[in-house]
Amino acid sequence: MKSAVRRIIGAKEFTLFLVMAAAVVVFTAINRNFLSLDNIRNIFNSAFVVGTFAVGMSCLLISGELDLSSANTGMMAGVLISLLMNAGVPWVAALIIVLFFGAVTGLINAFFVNVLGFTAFISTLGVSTVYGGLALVFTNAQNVPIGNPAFWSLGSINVFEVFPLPFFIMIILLTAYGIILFATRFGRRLYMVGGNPNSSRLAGINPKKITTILFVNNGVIASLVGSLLAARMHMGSPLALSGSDLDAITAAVLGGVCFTGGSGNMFGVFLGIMLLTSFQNGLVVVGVDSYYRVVAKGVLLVAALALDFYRERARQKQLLSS
Amino acid sequence: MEKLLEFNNISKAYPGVQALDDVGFSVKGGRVAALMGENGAGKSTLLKILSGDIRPDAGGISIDGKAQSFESPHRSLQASISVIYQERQLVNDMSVMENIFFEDLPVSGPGFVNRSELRRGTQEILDVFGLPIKPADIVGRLSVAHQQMVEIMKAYRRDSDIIAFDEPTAPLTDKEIDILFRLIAKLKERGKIILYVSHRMAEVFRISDEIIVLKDGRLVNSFETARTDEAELVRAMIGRDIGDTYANLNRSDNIGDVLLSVKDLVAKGVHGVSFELRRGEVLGFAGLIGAGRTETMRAIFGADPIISGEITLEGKKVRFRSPKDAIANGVALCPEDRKEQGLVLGRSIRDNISMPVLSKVKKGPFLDVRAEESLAGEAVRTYKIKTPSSEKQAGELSGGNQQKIILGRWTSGKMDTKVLILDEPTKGIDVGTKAEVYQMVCDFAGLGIGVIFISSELTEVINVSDNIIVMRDGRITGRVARREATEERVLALAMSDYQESMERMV
Repeated sequence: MKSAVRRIIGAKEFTLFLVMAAAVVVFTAINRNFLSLDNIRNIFNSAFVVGTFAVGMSCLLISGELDLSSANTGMMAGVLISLLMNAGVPWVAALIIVLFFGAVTGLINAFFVNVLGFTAFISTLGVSTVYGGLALVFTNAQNVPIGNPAFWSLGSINVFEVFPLPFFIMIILLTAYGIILFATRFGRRLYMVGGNPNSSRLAGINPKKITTILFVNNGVIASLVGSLLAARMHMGSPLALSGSDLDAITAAVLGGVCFTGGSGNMFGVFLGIMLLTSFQNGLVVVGVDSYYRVVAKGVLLVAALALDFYRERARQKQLLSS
Repeated sequence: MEKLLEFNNISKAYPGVQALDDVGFSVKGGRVAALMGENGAGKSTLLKILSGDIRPDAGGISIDGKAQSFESPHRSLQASISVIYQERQLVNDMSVMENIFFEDLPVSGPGFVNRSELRRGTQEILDVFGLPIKPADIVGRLSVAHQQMVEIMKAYRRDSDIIAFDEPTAPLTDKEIDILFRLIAKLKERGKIILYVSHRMAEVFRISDEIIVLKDGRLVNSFETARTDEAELVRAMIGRDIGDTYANLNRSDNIGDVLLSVKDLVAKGVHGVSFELRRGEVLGFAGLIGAGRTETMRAIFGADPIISGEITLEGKKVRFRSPKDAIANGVALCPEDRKEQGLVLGRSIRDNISMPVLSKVKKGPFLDVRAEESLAGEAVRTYKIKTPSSEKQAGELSGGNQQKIILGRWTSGKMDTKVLILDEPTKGIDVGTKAEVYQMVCDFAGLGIGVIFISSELTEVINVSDNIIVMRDGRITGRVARREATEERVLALAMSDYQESMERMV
């Protein structure tokens, strides 16, 4: 019993939980509305973008890779789905095409990393930049409005009154991927590859296959985010989602995903997402100037990285001393 | 005044190994002292202490009677010591001249590099060496031999009083070796102190004045080169204290038909290797580090590409395209570097053992943790892995226990291992666990597994294996059965030149 308590207190998630609880108490003390149903719905609504990105990104980070093209893949998906629907393609077909586009993007990223041996940081940044430019070309830098109410509803229906559909989808994805990571063969291999790709390969695991699947997976998830955002905004914007993949990395690292690969879990990521978004929302509610909110986000990221650094160093020390 | 370098009772321990044990000797100016000994005898550790790379636990170095304390490589350089390691320490993307004058670039004005002075100084050194290299050549584009010469020129430029070479001739061709030896002779005349580590008998006899032999971290003896011979040196390097560990090994000696046959295998660092492994046989691979044994096995295992050659497993031609492929066919490899290539240190013992058989411990779409647990438990019991539970992280265990995890991985109830390749399985392991590993090797063979046992420790490879293959420079230089194997004979094969051994075999 005692050891169970100690394990809970020792877990990284517990620290996170305390930080979040403290933030909630402070924000509510300053403004009671922080915990109102409307505001909670607000938090959920803004959590979905970062949170859904964080699902695919966390898997990549755990496997030792990353994808900086997710935000622009999502943006591109939003633009494409709007253009397709305006051209008369039914929304279901348009959504399928756009998800396929995400998968192809993932394959391109995987090709650069696994076949040509590029560093993911650079090559995904390249793909991202290309998409950013292409979107401006396709739209002439104008938003593409969508006039399809059936499609709009994807972004606005609430499930069980409180959960906006996109947020609900995020929760389902988090749960599904949590189970995949924790209990399946693929999940185990993912951790092993992230922990040590050389050892994994010599023990019969194919690291390139694992990361290829994850890049494709991430591309599809990014396109889904882009499509749902387009539904909510009633348009595709060539400037949407900018920087939200970096926010996803912030959330993942806050949630205890090791930046060098090998560890992390979806429960932690969930807490990371909620901390990041409720913190941002809380600053709005208590009336902090929007420029300072950006500063606060940066401070939170650096704090998360510092936490990860010390955690990793403590772990290395422990490994070395034994 | 004549210079004097003294090593005073130096000791250095690493976890589980006494790398140097009370080693003391001195070298006078104008003399070349060769350091010899098997792999792991302590030569490299000694050089690292001389260069200030590591610090001894006890004892120290004095120069001209003055005790020195090197807190860092920088202090060692200041004391006029240059150590040239086997691993080149060059900046590949920079030019020859920038590398040679790396620590001391000539500057003019407010700190601009004086390139004409740099070029002139470098050309001067190149003229001394007589090499076809230009000062502005990029180091990374030179041949390996020329890169090694740049490393030597770097030390020459410093004009250090004490120069140590660690196997300098390994990458060199005869032409550069001649240049190097003439240079060493010149340095000798100028009263420099030279330390020379080499495995090559002929070289050592050609250039050294005295020979210092180390074994297991202790200084065995020192000889005047003119008054000793090859046989005496080999005897000193091997020593006489072979315990009865080996006599007590329980072997089955039941060797069956051919299991694995390799013909004319060519891969990176492997130049036409052929051998046969039988069921129940322990086939030792002896040789010095870098002889191409690891490369041979990695190619067979599908970890590195094969250029040409034929591999037959149980009568069927095979060529594994990946380790996964090899494992599916019953071939397993325990790599030399346990931490970097064997284990995932941050994961549990259980996870590390079930790694290759995850598809056999499934319950529907999920992993069957209980089945995994029983695999891990079995390994912990069979190999007496010292741990409170199989949940413990692999990185928290000692080297010997880590090795047992990998052995457990390849011999678990879900594996069907026919060929087990062990690359230096006893490296960095304490003596007691070593004996356990030897018995395990014999037990595997007793089960009908063909075991390939790579080891750079002569005593163990000779005494554990049924047959021994000796490699050098990517080629097989000899085959000996245990009954006929003597350490002298195997060491001679491991160090001999390929041509010589061909003549001997004919």
